[in-house]
Amino acid sequence: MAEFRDSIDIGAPPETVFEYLITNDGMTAWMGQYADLDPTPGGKFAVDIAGHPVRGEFLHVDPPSRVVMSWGFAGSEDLPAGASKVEFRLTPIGGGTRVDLRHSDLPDTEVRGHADGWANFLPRLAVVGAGGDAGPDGWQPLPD
Amino acid sequence: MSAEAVVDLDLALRALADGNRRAILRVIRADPQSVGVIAEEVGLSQQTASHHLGVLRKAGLAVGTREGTRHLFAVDTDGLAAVRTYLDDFWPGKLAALKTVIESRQEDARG
Repeated sequence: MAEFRDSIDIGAPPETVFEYLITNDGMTAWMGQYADLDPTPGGKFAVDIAGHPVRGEFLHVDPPSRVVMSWGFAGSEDLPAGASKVEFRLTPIGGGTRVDLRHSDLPDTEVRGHADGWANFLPRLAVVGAGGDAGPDGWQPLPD
Repeated sequence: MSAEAVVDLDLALRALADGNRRAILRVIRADPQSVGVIAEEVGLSQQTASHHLGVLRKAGLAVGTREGTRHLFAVDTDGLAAVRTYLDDFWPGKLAALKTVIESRQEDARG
């Protein structure tokens, strides 16, 4: 199974950052256009990103330090709803927060030749599912 | 990134949104193959396979090559590199957006 890790430092306390990971308005302020979140273990995690329905459930909700959700796409064969796992860890750093992201349990795609590239590429493809259609947040909208 | 490159990327992502076309890329990723072989491997008619290969070619993900008199299709690694770059940017782009939103609201709250 493949995984992706990244981190970023944010100039706000963990309590503030945490709200953006578990509330509907907070989530859509930075990711997706629609969110329906029930931040309790087993609660619903639903975010539509550029028309692609990300679906899963909250697995761990430990304010303000950690939130884990399952993550997949409704109707996807490559990465069905809830198939992978996204974890955010929030650590206080001088006056702000370090956010460590880990997206794990991404399916490795069978690799015969060209191991380099495909093993990396197809799981990622499943993750964002061709989210370029409308240009997801963070990207300039595509010209009509 | 130029507007042209963005449009090409959009084409590539749309092309990849289809399961049959991803299956075709899997068939041709190691060795170039003919339409006949591709159609059989993926379980499509030759006509449908040709249609999908046309979409992949326009999107810069597949190229046609000739081997003697045979017309073969292969993965276009340049096109895939562009898509991979995009996908590698997914979470970094999202986290950057999270930071921007929170920090700008912090500023507003203070100001």
